Amino acid sequence: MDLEATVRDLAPRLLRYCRGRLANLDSAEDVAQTALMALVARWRAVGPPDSPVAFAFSIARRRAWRSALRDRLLQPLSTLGFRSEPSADPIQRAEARSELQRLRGELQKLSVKEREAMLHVVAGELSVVDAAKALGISESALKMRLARARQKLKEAGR
Amino acid sequence: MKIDPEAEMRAVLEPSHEEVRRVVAVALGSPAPGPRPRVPLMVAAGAIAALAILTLYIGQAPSFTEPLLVGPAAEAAGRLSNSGSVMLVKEPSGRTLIANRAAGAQATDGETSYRLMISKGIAP
Repeated sequence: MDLEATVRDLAPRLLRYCRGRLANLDSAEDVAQTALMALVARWRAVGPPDSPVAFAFSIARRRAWRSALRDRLLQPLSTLGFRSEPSADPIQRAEARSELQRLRGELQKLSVKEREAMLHVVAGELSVVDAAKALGISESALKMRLARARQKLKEAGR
Repeated sequence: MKIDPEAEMRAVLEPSHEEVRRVVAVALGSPAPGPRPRVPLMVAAGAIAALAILTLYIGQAPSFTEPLLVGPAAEAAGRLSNSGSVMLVKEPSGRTLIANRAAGAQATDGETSYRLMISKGIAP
């Protein structure tokens, strides 16, 4: 296993997970970055963990929870918008923003556990084994959560 | 054509290349962990060693449950600083003892009788 290749593979997956998890995109990037830095530090200190993916996502999940709480406590609602990408086209930006808002609205219909399961497996593209490890639950429990989440989203989409 | 909702979700959450590049650069550029800090460990080890030595010293110190025989030098010093709870007393046989003056055991220097509580202590 190569550290650099693992980091490059994990970065977009972690960012997707964090963007789905957190309303504040700056916080999402910070959380993804912190999780990757923790993985790099661990790798360089004592070697790679059993599952680097589960390791990084476990850290990201904990950090995201803390970050969401902090954002909720410290920041006024008006600042919890979406970060503007200066280089992006304003129309594209507005479309992406509304798409992200719509998606987050859909995810809000799920319970926290179901949402976490969906974000790990769909946004983070974790295998069932890795996602179960990252969430600290059994594979069958994860599959049940995923099935329920998919069912709810399907019903909401009708 | 039917769109996969999960692929659509991934597409919506997809970060920009710039974001990915930034995150990777920071993660890989983070400094390698240096050697673990040794100073706190050494301080802790030193404190434990000091405690152990102190415990051993106190444990090995002669028990003060009875008056102890002291030499002539201590006797001279004791006569000059016969204050506080510790004092030197002289036995009728002529021996000088160090004792803790409080209440309890009896000791005498031949002329004065002292009521003494002999507690644990260290002989000079």
